[in-house]
Amino acid sequence: MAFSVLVFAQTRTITGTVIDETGSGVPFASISVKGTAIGASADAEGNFTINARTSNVLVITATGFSTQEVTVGSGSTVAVLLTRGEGQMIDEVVVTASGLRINKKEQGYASTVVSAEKLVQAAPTNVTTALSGKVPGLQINGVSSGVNPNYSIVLRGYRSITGNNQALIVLDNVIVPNSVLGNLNPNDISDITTLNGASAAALYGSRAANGALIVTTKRGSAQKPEITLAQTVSAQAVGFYPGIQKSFGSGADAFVQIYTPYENQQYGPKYDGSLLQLGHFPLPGGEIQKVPYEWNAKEGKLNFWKPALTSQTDFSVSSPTGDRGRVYLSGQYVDATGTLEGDKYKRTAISLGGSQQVTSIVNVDYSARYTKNVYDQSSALASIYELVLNSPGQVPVTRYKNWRVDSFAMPNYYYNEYYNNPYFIKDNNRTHTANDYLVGNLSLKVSPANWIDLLGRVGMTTRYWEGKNWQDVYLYSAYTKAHASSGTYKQSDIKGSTGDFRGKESTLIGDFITTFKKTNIENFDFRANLGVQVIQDDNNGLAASINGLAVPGLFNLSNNTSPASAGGDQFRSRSMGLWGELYATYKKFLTLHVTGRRDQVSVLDAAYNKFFYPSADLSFVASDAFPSIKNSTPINLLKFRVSTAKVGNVNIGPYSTLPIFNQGAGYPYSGNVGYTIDNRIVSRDLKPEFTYSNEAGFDLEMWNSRFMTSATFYTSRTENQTLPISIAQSTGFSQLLTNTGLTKAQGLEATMGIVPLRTADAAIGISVNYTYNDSTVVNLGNFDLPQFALFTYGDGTGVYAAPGKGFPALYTTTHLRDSATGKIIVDPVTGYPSLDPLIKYRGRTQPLHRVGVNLDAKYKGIGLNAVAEYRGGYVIYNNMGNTLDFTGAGINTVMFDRQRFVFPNSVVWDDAQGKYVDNTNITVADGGPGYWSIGNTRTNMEENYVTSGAFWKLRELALSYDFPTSIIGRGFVKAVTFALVGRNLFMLVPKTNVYTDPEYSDNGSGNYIGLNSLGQNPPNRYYGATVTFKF
Amino acid sequence: MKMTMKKIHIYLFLAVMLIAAPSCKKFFDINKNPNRPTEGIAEEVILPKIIVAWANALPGASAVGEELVGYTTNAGGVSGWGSFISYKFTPGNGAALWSTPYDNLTDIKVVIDKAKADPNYALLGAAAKVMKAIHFQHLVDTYNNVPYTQANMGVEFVTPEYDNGPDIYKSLAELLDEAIADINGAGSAAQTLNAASDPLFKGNMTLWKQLANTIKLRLIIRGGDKVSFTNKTFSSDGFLAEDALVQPGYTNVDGKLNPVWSRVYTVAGAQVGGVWQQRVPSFYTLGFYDGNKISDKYRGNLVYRAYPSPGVNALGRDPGTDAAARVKTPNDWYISLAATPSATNYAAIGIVKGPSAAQPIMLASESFFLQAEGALRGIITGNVKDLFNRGILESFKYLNKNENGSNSSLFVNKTTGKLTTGSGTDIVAISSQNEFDEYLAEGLNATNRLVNYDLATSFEQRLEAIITQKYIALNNLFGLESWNEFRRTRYPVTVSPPTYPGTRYTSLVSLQSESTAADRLPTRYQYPQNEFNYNGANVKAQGGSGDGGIIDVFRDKIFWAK
Repeated sequence: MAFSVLVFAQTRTITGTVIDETGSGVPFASISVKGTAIGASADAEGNFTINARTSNVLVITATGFSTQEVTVGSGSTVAVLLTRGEGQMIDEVVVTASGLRINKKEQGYASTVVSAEKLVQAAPTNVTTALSGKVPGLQINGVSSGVNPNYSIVLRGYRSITGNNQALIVLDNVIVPNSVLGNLNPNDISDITTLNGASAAALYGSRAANGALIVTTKRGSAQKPEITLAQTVSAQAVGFYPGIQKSFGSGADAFVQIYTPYENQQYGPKYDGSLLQLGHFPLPGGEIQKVPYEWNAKEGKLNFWKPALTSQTDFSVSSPTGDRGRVYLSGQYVDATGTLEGDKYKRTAISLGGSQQVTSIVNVDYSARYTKNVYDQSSALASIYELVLNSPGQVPVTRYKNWRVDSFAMPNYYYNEYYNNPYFIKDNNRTHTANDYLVGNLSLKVSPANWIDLLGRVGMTTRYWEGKNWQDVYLYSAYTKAHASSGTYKQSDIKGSTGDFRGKESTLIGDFITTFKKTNIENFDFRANLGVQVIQDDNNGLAASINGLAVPGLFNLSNNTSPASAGGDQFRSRSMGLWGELYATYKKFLTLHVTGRRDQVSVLDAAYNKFFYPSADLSFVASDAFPSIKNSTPINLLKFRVSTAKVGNVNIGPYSTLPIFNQGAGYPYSGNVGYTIDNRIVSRDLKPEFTYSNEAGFDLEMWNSRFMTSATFYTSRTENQTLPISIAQSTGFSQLLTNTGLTKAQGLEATMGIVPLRTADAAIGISVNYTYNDSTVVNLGNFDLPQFALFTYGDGTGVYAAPGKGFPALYTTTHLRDSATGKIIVDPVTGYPSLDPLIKYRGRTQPLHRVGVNLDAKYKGIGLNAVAEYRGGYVIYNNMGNTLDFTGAGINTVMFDRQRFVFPNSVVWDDAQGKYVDNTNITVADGGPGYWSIGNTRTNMEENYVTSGAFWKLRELALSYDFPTSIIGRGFVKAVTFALVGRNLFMLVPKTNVYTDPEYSDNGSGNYIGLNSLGQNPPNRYYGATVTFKF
Repeated sequence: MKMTMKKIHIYLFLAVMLIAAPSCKKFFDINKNPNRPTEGIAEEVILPKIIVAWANALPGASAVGEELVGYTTNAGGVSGWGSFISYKFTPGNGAALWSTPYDNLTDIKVVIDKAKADPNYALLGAAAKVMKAIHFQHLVDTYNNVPYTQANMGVEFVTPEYDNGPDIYKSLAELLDEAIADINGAGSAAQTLNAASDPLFKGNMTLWKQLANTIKLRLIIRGGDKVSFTNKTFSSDGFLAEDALVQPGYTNVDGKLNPVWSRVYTVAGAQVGGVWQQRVPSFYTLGFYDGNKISDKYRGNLVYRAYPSPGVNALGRDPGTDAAARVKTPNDWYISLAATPSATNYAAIGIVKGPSAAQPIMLASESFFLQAEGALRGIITGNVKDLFNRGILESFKYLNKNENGSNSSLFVNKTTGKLTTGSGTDIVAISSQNEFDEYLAEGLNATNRLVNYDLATSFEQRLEAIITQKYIALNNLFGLESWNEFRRTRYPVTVSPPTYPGTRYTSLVSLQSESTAADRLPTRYQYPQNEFNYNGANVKAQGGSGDGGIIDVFRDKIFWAK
C-alpha cells in the first residue's frame, strides 16, 4: 500500500472513497477543493482521485446526501462518510449488464432494485420466494412442494417456445445457474436489480434475451465492525387441501351403493355412523378391524400431512480491513422438516465477500461462498398423494404410521386391497441428495488514469451432487397371498432396488473490460466499455442402479440379484463474446447508450455459430432539462426512456446438431449390438433464435418522493424458434428439431408508490405494481402445424404452442359436442357423454394480469410489512382431478349427491328432427362410479379438470419490533429486533378450483407451466418468529 | 516515464484482447458427441434391432387381441375396465400398435436404402423388405388405410397422406417377390447374414424366402378378391415349416428378458402388475379344451396351470365373490409344478417358457393352417387335411418346447394330461406326436368336425375347422392374429347377444358391450391420438361413420373384414 511519511507542501494525488452509513460506496459524488477550481467526480463505487495539498479542504457533495467537508491530512488517502439528507432525493445507482454501475438517470430501460431489508422482511430460506409480488414484470412460480421446493423465475413472460425462458442470474457479476440463487443465504444479499428486458441485458450475451436478475452480495462495512446474530423458527402446515367429499365411504359398485370393506373407491353408501369391518380378511389370529362408518376428522386422510418446523440460524461479521478495505463474513444453518413426515432438509452456507484498495490504482474485489445442502425425501410423492386420496373418509389413516409394528398398518394386513399404506410407501421409497455449491469470483481493477479503467474478472461456479435412492424389500406372507384378491399389490413381493448418482457441473467465466471516460467535451460526457467474455460450461453425471436387493435393508450396488445398469454422459460448451458500449450524455439530462455484441458458440455448426446483435436506448430527464419542471415544487424527477434491442439466443445444448444412434430393443445382448436411429431428426442449418424487443416508459417522482410512478410498455418478437416439433409417428420419427415459428409479446409494467405519512416517528408506504403480459405464438413456420406439443400427457392433454393463441396454450381432450349448438352430446340410452378425440384449446396458462401490493409501515420501533399478489387471466389443468373423480374422494363427485342426473347443457340426437335437441330428461345410467370414475364417461374428458388459474395470495406479512435503547441499554448489544413473520398465509381461488396452488407445475421450472398433478403435495403456509441481535 | 509504462500496459492489454478474440477456431471445435454415436453405424447392427424390436412388441400387441377373442377376460367386478369390456375404443387405446411399427420402419428404410445403393447389401435389404411387409400388414390389419408411400420420409412428408389398405396389400406382395428375387440374385460377394446380424434365421436365406412366401400367402388369403395382386404364384422355396423364433440372447437381465416372460416377472422375480395378472381365461376359450366344445387335456395343461379349473369368467360379467373367477397367482397361463409358483420354479413349457426363451414371430402351426386354407381355396396345391393336421401337431410341438427350444424333458400323465417330474403309472415322456394322435380320438373329438377334418364336408365347415384350430394354436400367443382371422371369417363361431350363464361357452361377446353393431362386437381400433394430434387432416380424411365423421369402431371395417 502506498504510504508516505513526508509532508509535501505541494500538490499531490489524493485517492479516496465516498461511502454512506451502510458502507456502500456513494457513486458519482462531486469532490472539489475548497477555494479552488479543482474538481473531480467519484466513480460508480465511490472512488475518486484528486490533486490537493495538505490542509486543503475537500468539499464532497452528492445528490441525496448532506454536503461534507474533509481536511486533507498527511496521508494520500481519505475516506469520506456522507449521511443522507432529510427529504433529499437520492440519485439511484443501478448495476448494468457490464457489471458497471451507472446513475439511473442515464438508464434508458426498465429496472427495479429490491433492497436487502425488503428481501428478508419475512425471513425466507429461499431468496427466490422473497421476490414474488415485489417487482413488476417478474413472475416467480413456486412449482413444487416439499422441503426443497423449486421456483421458476420469468421476466416478461415466455418468448422462446422450447428454450430456457428463465431470467439470467448474475451473482456478483458472474453468470450462475438458477439453482445457485435458491441456495444463497438471503442475508448475504445487498440488493437485487432486475433488468426486465432484453434491451437491458443485451450485453450479457445470448443468455440475456430473458432479462436478468443481478444479485450483489454484501461487501462489509467500511466504518465499524458489526456482528449480527439471528435466529428464526418457523412452522409450516398445509394451507390448502383439495375439495374432498365427506359423506360417502368405501364402495365401487355402479348402480347400487354397497359397502366394500377393502375398497379404495369411495362410492359406497352414505355415512351412518355404524361400526363396520375394515379390511378384506382377518389377521392370522382372527382379529378384525372395525371403525365407525363416518367421516374421520381427527385421524382421517386430511391429517396425513403434519405441521413441520424450520430453524434458521444466521450470523455475520461486517468490518473494515485496514483503511482501504472492507470484508463481510457470514454463516447460516437451516434445518427444516417437511409436512410429509420424515422429509428433511439441511443447509449450511458460509460466505466471504470484500474489497480492498491495494494501491492507489489497483482495487481488488472478491467473494467466495460454499453452500452444502442435504435433503432426505420420499421419492414417491405422487404415489403417496394418490394413496392418501384412495383412502376412504372413514379410515383412520394416521393410525397406520407404524407399519413395522402395528398389525393393521402392515402392508400384509392393511385394509386397502388395491392401494398400499401411504406411510409404508413413504418410508420404503427414499432419496437422499447432497449438493455442494462453490461460487467464487475475483476481480482486479486497475485505474491508471482518470480516463481509463481496466478490469479483469474470473468467476467460477461449481456444483457437485450425489445421492442415493432406494426401495427396500417387502415380502408378503403366504397367509396374505392366499387371502388377498388376485391382481392386488399384496400378491406382488417388492424386491427392492437402489441407485447411486453423482455429477458435477461447472461454469468458468473470464471477463476483460476496458472503460474509457471523458467528461465535459462541449457539454457532452462520454463513457465507453469494450469487453471480451469467455464462458465454458461443463456438465457430467454418472448413475448406476440395481433392481432387486439380495439382502434386504442393504442399499449397495453390490447387493444385487442381477447385473447393475449404469450410465454417464458428459457435456462441454464454450462461447465467446466481444462487445462494446457507449454512453453519450448531453448536459446530464440526455443519454444515448448503444451496445453491440458478437457471439461465437461451440454448440452450433461452424457456418452458423457467429452472430451479432446491437441495442440502443435513450434516456431523457425532462426534470433536469427544463428549468420550469425542475423548479416546480412537486416534481422531483421526470424521465422518459426508450430502447430497442436484438438478442440472439442459442437454444440447443451441446451435440444436438447431429442425429444419434442408440442401442435398441434390449441390445446389447451377450456380445452383440443392435442400433436404432434416434427418433429425433435435426435440421443441419440450426441458427440461434433472435429476440427483437422495444420498450418505452417514464419515471415520475413527486413531492419529495412521496409519490412515484413509472410505466413501461414493451413489445418483443422472437423468430427462428428452435423447436423439436412433435411430428406424426407415421413420419418414422417423433421429433424434428428445426428453426421455425415466431412468437410475440407485448405488455405493460406499471408501478405506483405513495407515502401518505412520513414523520420522524412514523411512515407508511404503499406501492402497487401491475403487469400485463400477452405472449402469443404468431406462427409455427414451415410446417403449418395446428399446434406444437410442449408437455403432454398420454391422451394429448397438455400445453402447446399454437398459432394465434396465447402462449403457452392449454389443450385438452373434450366432450363430443354438437357443432350447431356447442352443447355436449349424450347417448340417448345411457345419458353419458362421450369423448371427442381431437384436443381443443382451453386458454393460456400464463397470467395475463398480475398485481403486487406492498405495504411498509413503521411507527417508532414497530414495523409492519406485507406483500400480496394477484394473478389472473389464465387457466390451469389439474391432473389430480382424475384421481379425485376415479376414487370418489373429490367434492365434485357429490355434486348430484351420487344420484342419476341429466347431464347439464347436453343435447341428444332426435331422429324425427334429424338434429340434436336439448336433453331435458335422459339421466345418466349411473350417478355413482358408472359415470364419475370411468374414462369414457368422465375422466378421459380432461376439460373437466381445467380451472381458472386466478388467485390472490398474501405472500408475506411481517410485524417487527426494534427494542429501544431504553431497554437494551447502550452496552455491548447495539440493537435487538423481534419479528413475527408469515408467508403464503392465505390463498383465495375461484370456487371451481378445488385442486391446488395454480403456481404448481408438473414440468418443474421448465417452460410448460399450467399443468399440475399429484406429484406436488398440498401447498403450505409458513409462520414464524425471528430475533436479531446486532453487536 | 511512469506514464509511458502505464500506457504500454494499456495498449498491451488491448492488443491481447483483440488478438485473442477472433482466432479461436479450435476453441469452438468441441461439439463432437462424446456420448452417443452419430455416424458409422453399420446396417449389420441395425437389422438385428429391427427384428428384435418387432419380436419384443408382439406379446403386447397380442394382449389387444387376447381381450377381444376371449383368450382373456376381466377377473374382478365390472367397474374400471373401460374399453376392455365396453369395446368403446378411443384414440388412446393401443398407441403402441401404431408407434412401434412406424418407429421400426425407419430403421428398416435405412437398411433397404443401403441395399438399393450398394448391391453388396442385397441380403440385408431382402430381410428388411420381409420385415417391412410384416409391419405394414399389421398396420393395415389394425387400421385399414395408413400412411405408406409417404410414411417414414421424415421432413419430406411431415403430415403423410394415407394409402388405401388394398393398395398397400398389393404393394407388399410385390415387395415380398422383390425380396426373394434379391436373395436369389445376390452375388457371392454379397454380405451374408449370421447369428449376430440375424437373430431370426441366423443367416439361413431359404428360411427368409419361406417366411416371405408365407407372409405373401397370408396377404393373398386375407386380401381375397378385394386386392388385384400382380402375381399370385409362389417361389419354389416353399412355406415356413418351423417356428420363426427370434433369439438375440434373451436373459434374466433388465431389458433383456424374453418379452412374454416380462409380462409375468421382473428380473428381480417380482410379479409384474396388470394385464395377465388381472385377467382370467373365458369360458368360451376354455371350452375348446375342457370338453365343452373340444377335449384337449394335453394342451389344456400346457396352456393353463390349474387346468381343468383355472380362473374363469365371461367377459363383462361381475363375478362378485365367485372364487372360481379369481386369478391364480401369478396368472393362469404361467406353468409351474410347484404349489406356490414363483419366478424360480417355472416349468419352462407352454406359453411362458422362461426368461431366456426365444420369441416366436410366426409359428409353424400358423404357416400350416395358412397353407391348409390356401390349398382349400386353390391358391396353392396341397392336401388340406394333411396340412390341417400338421398345423395341429406343430401347435403341440411349440407348446412342448422348453426354454432352450427343444422338446421338454418333463413327463406327463397320460390319463390327466398333467405335467410332472416324477414317474409312476401312466407317466410318460412328452411326445408331441403321441399327444396329437391321442387328441384326435380324445373324448368326442373323433366325431367333431373341428378336430376330425374328414367330417367337415362343405367349404365353410372346412374353413371353420382350420380357423378354429388356428384360434386354439394361437391362444395367448398371437391374439391379434386370431382377432384378424375372426373378423375375416367369423370363426370360431360365437353367438350374440351374450347371456350369463346361458351363452358362456358359446359367446365371446362382452356382457357390457356398448357396441351398436348387430353382433355387439367392435370392428376395429380407432386411429391413435398421435395421428389426431399431428396428422389430423389426413386422419380425418379417412372418413368414417362415427360422430364428427371419424372412424366408428363399431361400424367401420378393415377392407377384408366380413
